[in-house]
Amino acid sequence: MLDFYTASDPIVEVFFWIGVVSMAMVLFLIVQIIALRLLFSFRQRRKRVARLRWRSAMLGWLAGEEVSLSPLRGYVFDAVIDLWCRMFEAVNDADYRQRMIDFAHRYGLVERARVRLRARDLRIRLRALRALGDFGEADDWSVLERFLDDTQNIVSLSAMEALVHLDADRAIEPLLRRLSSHRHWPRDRLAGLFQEIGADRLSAPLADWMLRASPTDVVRLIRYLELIHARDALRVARAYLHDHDENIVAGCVYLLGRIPLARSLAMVRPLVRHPSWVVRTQVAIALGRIGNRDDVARLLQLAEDRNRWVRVRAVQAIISLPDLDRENIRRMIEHAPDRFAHDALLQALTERTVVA
Amino acid sequence: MLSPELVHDVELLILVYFALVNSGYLLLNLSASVAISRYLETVDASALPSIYAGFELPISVLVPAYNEEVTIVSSIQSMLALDYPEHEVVVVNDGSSDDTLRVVREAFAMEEIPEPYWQRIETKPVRAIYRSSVFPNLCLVDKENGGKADALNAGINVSRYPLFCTVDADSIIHKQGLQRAVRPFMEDDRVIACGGIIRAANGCEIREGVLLKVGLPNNPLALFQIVEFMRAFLFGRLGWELVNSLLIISGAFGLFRKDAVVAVGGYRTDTVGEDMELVVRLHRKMREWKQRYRITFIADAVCWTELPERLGILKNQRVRWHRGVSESLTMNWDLLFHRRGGVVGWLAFPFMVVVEWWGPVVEIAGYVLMLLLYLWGYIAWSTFLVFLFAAIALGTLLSITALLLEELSFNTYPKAWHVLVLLIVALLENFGYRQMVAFFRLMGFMRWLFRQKGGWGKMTRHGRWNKRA
Repeated sequence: MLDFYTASDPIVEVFFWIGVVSMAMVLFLIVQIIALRLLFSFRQRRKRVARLRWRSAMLGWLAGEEVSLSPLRGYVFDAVIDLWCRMFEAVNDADYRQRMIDFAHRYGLVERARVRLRARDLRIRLRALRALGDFGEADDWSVLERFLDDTQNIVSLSAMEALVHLDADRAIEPLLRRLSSHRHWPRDRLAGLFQEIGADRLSAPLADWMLRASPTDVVRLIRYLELIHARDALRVARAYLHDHDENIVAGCVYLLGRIPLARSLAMVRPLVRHPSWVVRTQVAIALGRIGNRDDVARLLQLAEDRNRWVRVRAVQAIISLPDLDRENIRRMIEHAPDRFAHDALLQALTERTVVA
Repeated sequence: MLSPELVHDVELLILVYFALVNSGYLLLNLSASVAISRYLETVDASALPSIYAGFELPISVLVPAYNEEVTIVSSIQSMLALDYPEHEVVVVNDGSSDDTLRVVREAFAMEEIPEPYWQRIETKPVRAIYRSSVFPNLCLVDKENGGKADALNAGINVSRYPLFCTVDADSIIHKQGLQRAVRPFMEDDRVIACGGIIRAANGCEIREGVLLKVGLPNNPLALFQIVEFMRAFLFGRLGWELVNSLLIISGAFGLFRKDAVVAVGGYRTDTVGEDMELVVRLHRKMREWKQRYRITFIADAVCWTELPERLGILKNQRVRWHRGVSESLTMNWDLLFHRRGGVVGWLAFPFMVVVEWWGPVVEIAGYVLMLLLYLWGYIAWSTFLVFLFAAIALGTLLSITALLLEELSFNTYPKAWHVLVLLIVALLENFGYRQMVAFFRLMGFMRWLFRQKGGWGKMTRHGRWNKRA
């Protein structure tokens, strides 16, 4: 049977052993897969049961009932902490929130989260960071602050979010200090932080910071100023509106287009003849958003621009102007300055009609 | 008469190739494991509630369609229902000879729009552009037949947003698929393309374009392909993604930055593998232009698609795919060992040439040669069996590893019996299916060699998995 093994050349022998080792590994992996699936099913069931028990306990606690629970086991901590955070963040009432925090103290969630912060598994640490932010314990500030300079973006950002949850006023200073160094923080999460801190707290410090920021940071962050008070946003826009960097100016115009005030409109209008097409495109968009009937001539001028994007945006802007009726637009189509403007206006008008 | 030395040299050659290929795959496996564990860590964190989600880049979803009257409506419905703040769906009817155009126009109340067509990439003439009076973000382009690549180029020309997503008309993107696929673009400005994972819709329950229940098909061919796809995506793509050397983004689901694609000239219409060719060309051009870029893959951005259940259709598909691989590689030959080629030019491209492109030639030649050597009496029956045993054992090991990665990460198939079925399929596919697919790929190679003409892949859709209300 094994004559090839005893008599044949070494190459066949190598093939034979490759096959044997591979099959052994296949068997080992099959066992591992089956074990993993059994473990997965078991864990899922165990978590489901625990989640149900803790959920009804949390709801009972919120309703003022005394609840009895066995101590929190490590294997359900993740499920319970997720459940707690979701319930806490879904509740707006201050009294109920305080009750949730009392619950966390009473049943050891706070202590356990502090311990879990030292875990090696990133997922466990992230959960703990989030929970500690929600628990609102001022003592945890310095612990959380240490994670702000973590090499992993997701950790530093989660720590920042936790600090904002903990004390939004106090979090502004460390946040602004890290805006430059943490350029890879995802934009939606950063905007979320700004929103949570709120325009009242953030407006003045963020505007001051923007006035001192590097050109790269200005380009990256100027669009977020729509989340703060108009007066501070306008202060920054005014300072950079005549910058030599076209991306900064375009950013300013983008921002102004989101502030529906006469002052912002007045700042946008003179830029119709800006040498950069990037800026002129933003001017067209901004006029479409905050402009009025008086801007038709400017937009028609942009509809003849040598750059296609400017023309496209200008035509779309004309159609979106609030106080233009179909007849006005039809007249414009008839007297359109060039073929593109004619076709594009016709298209935009037809689309508006179709969708309406 | 062959000398014993020559027989020995042939055996040695096969061993060297065998070792090269399989160690490459095992390394990819390791790389994929690292990529999966890294990804799972971040995906868990990004699953935390996003407080402000208005900053996602808008996306144009391009749906090229050719004779897709059976599945097109459900596909469009699923794309319109995608959980994404701002996206448009651009369906491109590439001169279908069936009722695709009429079906779409009627189902979505499309009306013709006098849209100025900006031909940034040259295409066959566009006959008309329609917009839906019910869904403002749905557009239909009717054009003369020019092939899938030409249809995609027309879609790019009509699209309005900075990112575009390609989706096959018979496919369903997971509801959060776009949100997941766009994340790399949000987190890294260098990202120019991102692929998603393709999974089998056969056996799943889908109603009106929405996936309700994941299941397994009864058809053995489809089952074999499920394991094959797992292998291809979970360690083939993830493994290369880690070192920015991904050479394939499936045409069924890929997200691209429009300016980058327009800059390299859009899809080439003279290849049947336009999806792979574009990605290889993006690598080549970006490296030639010294641009910093990333081409990435998101393993949980899922697209469900119907896999062929009939042998003839599977054969045509694989022949076309392998022709596409051949064309994509030869059209971008400059990338191979280019001085600025990096890992992609010095490792991924050569690996693709030796293992994927030449793989079926060597594999089939190996089987035939060993059989001939045995028949001519140069090697013993037992020796022939040992070669076969090693090949099957290593093939099984690779399939099982893919299954393990799936179990460790996504648990797509929820029931325990699903895993058991897949385990059995992973063992069985090595006894005939893999050899058959290798033969189909060899046919594709020959068709490329003899320059036979290709076109839209013709696949008969039954759409049984896709129920209407």
